[in-house]
Amino acid sequence: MLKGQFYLELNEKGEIRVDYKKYRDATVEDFERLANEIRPKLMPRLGKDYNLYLKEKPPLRDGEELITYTLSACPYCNSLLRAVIFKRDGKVWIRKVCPEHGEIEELYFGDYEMYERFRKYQHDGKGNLNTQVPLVAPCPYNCGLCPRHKSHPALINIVVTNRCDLSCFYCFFFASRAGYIYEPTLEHIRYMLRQARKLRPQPAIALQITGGEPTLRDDLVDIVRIAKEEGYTHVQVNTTGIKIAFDPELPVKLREAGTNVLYMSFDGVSPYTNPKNHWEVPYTLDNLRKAGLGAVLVPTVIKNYNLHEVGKIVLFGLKHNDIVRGVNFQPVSITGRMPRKQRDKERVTIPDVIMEIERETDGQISRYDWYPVPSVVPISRFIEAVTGEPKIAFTTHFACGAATYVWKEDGEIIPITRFVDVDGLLKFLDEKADELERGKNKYLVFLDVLVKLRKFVDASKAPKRLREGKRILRLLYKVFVRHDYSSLGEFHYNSLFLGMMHFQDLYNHDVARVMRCDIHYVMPDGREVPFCSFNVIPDLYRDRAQKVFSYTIKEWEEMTGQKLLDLKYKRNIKKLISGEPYRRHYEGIIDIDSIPYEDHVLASKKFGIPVIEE
Amino acid sequence: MKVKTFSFKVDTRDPRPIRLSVSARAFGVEAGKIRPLRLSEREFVEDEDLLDFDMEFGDTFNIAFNDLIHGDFDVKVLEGEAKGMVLKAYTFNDSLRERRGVLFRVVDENGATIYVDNVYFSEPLEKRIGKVSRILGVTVDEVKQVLGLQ
Repeated sequence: MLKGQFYLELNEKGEIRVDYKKYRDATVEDFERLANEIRPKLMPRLGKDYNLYLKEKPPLRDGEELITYTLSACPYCNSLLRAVIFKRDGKVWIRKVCPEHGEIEELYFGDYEMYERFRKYQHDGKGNLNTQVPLVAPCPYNCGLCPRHKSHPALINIVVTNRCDLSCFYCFFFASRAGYIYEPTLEHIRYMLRQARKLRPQPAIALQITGGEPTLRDDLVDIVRIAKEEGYTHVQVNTTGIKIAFDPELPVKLREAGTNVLYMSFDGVSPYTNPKNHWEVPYTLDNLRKAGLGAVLVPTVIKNYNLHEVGKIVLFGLKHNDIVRGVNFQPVSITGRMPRKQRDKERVTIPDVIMEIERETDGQISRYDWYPVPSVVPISRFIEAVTGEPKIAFTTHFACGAATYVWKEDGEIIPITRFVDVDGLLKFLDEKADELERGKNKYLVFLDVLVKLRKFVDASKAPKRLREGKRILRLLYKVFVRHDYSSLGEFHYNSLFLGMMHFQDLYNHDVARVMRCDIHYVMPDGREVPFCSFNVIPDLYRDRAQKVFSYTIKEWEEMTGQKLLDLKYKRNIKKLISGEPYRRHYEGIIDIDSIPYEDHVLASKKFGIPVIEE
Repeated sequence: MKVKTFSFKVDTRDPRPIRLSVSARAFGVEAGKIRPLRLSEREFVEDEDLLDFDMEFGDTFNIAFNDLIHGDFDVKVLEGEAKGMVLKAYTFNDSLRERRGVLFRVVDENGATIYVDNVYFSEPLEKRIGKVSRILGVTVDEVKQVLGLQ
């Protein structure tokens, strides 16, 4: 116990800094006191960090059709502005005018028809009964969460290090570029995880451990264990998978500690599109197979870079769906400042990726197979109404994400919509939830569900495993009538979850989306901040908070006896491409033999990862 | 102490339909008596009133100014003066969800909220009136009477 002393200091810029070395043995209670002390000092300040420019309504021009107005932040000064969302040329755009920085226009959603279809599924959350900060500023300068936030957390992220063994050219987050090392102690992590579980009525139950590169921490397995102790039932680790490619024991230990899935960067199927971990992924997947730990592939999609490979990424996932549980595409979030012309080359939105998948799979996965995230709310509403207990509800903005399920059988891709009337089922469950909420007899409702559920499923068109003995129907009965969720594993068996999550940036930023965000970060001062504030306004949230609780690089090197730059990964491409796993994983997806060795080397080096031959 | 609240109507379609009207009243408690406060009415000024609007309706209806500007809206700012604790009563009609009722907020003499209802998690009206009357130090009947429920 640190007996009431706070090791706070001001640096030369007048910023607060904790002498974090002195907190190495601090307890959860110490961190709680420290966080409570510091939190108010780190909140964004009106006039200093942002201004309000709300009077000016952005104009609409000929050929543009108003959809709605919203609030948004200026990419150059963070000020809060009015913005207009409008239709033009079949697409949805956002425009705002900053009195200081002029007009900013950006693509918001690449297909108006899909925007309209997705909007019909919007459901808002009920908010949170208790929050971590008082309401003292407009959204998004009050994150923590504030009382006006509409969603409860569905997934909590915790950054456990900003160290990384890569130096990707686009990343400014990792330690050697940030100039400090953020690596909270285990007790500090426990404090943060505990803090994020305090929300009511629905505390977070899913956690993502992220970085930097979390596998660089020797105590990662302990962190997973702590997460389980603190009540997180789902734990995933966000990683490049590189360390796991060379350490078969690590995934075993992670799984035994309670890790449910690995969330693994995977930007393409070729060295040109995925210079980050193209060569290591086959070995990582093999080690995950041995450990019995599944992976979700996470491609960041950039228009002029890898959009043309999204179909092949799905095929790669299906080829390895014994261990790959899903693919979660993330259309690029443009961080930092970028001129419009360059942005236009990179910008993709959810409909662009969905339609490209449709094109690349010859319509086997069509745009109509995808549903926006909040479309599943009727399922949680129904279960909540039946059990009388709060349930996780995915109440994000409809433009934030989309998903579907697919199976592969006899060379054919079968999306869930081929054998389940998804719209009919969701509408039916919503009606039943209404009836239960209005006090209708539970058993009468169950009886109705029992009789009518079959109406929404055509078992004859389901994948073989779900077709046999009408397993799909029995499974739905178990879930919706008997509330036995263990059977969901059977549904997921051999299926591939396809997701889409478009994190915002300051160009397409929409406060209406921030207010509904359900993917949050817990910060070292105990605030819980929506993803699109934490990473989109990093100078006011992520970087400001993490810097306070950091070591200098010199301090860290003295403390650990390691040199930060010595940890950088060097790749032996020759060895990796000559191994059997490499060929086995990519065969049938790319023409392996057509890529000269020199191209492999160049791709890796251009990305910033040195190549060795020993 | 300055008392500020709002009455508003909003009708939106994007990102989700909202058709809600809220009419606010405020009551002061002085010398153990609860009385309606006289509130003046003025137009809403974004830069000045946005935050107060969010503070008033963020934790009660999960509604913020950003929800209003998504559609058609009309907001009136209501202002007055009080010395002791203040009870605010928001009578609402959510015509899409076919819900109507009243939510309460009690603020102390410094303007800090010491009790507030939430539209999604509120208890039955009788129970809430009981709680509010205990905090204000007046009888249930007096609260009902000023609210026009008796």
